[in-house]
Amino acid sequence: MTPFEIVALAGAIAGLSMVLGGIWLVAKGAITMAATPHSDALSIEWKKQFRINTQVPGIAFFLVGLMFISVSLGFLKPPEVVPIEFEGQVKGVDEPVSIIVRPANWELPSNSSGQINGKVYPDFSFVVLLINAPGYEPFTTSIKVGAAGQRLARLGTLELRRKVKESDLEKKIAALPFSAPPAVANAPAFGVAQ
Amino acid sequence: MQAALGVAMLCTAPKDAAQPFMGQTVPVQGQLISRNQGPVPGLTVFLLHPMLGRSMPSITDQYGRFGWVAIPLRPEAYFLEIYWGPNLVYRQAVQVMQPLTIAPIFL
Repeated sequence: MTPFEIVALAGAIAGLSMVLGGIWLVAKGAITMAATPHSDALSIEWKKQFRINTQVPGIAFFLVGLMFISVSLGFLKPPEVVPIEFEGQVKGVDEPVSIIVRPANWELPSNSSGQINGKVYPDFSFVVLLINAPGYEPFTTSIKVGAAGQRLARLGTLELRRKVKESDLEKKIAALPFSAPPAVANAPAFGVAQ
Repeated sequence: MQAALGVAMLCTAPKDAAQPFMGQTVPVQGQLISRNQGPVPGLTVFLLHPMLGRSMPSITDQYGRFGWVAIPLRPEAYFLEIYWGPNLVYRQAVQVMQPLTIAPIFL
């Protein structure tokens, strides 16, 4: 949990405490919801444009508490994830095509002491597109993605150049001494591909 | 016979030698070359381990190179598998005892 989340959660707890505490004080008779004399009315005014006048000041407990809860919920709401759309076509490839999209490298500031110390702010304004097909030259390009809202990358028609056919290769398959998991699986995998 | 020479193929490893490395990870890389056509791009390469399962896939680049940056050191041998699409074209045992550059695989 980040410090920001802790503060926001504390605000929500404080707001809830005010509402519940207000109910408890009303029940105990410490504060009253009955109208007070006009001279005791609570008045809040801001630049003569915003003015609240109430003869029931006890209600402020509940309003302030609700405000704390609402603001905390607003801050804790996760940011909306905007998808990035890609449009295009790969032509002339008669092999299964794999398309990988990944963010551009996020670099930490360099120094000569060998220490790793820095922050990375995830930036999806540039992404790298990699198109691969067995035996074909890979296609790689970087794409600038528009700001929030318009997030569409048009790739047009792409052509890959064939280098090798499957029949050019001589298969060499050693027997496995154990049963292998399937090539495509949702199970966690190890290693990070370069 | 270059393929046989190319890969560090050791099916067994000394049991006590690998134990100090447990928990460490090392890079592993290699290259795939067709005997007649040169480097083979676009093929999917996995490392297979009897206990760890299958590695993340690495795809050969335009020079036929593939690799991973964090392969756990294990006393048991890995198996290197190369797929042409869904078809397995190569499988061989590879012992990973240290950062490993596999000699070019010729098919």
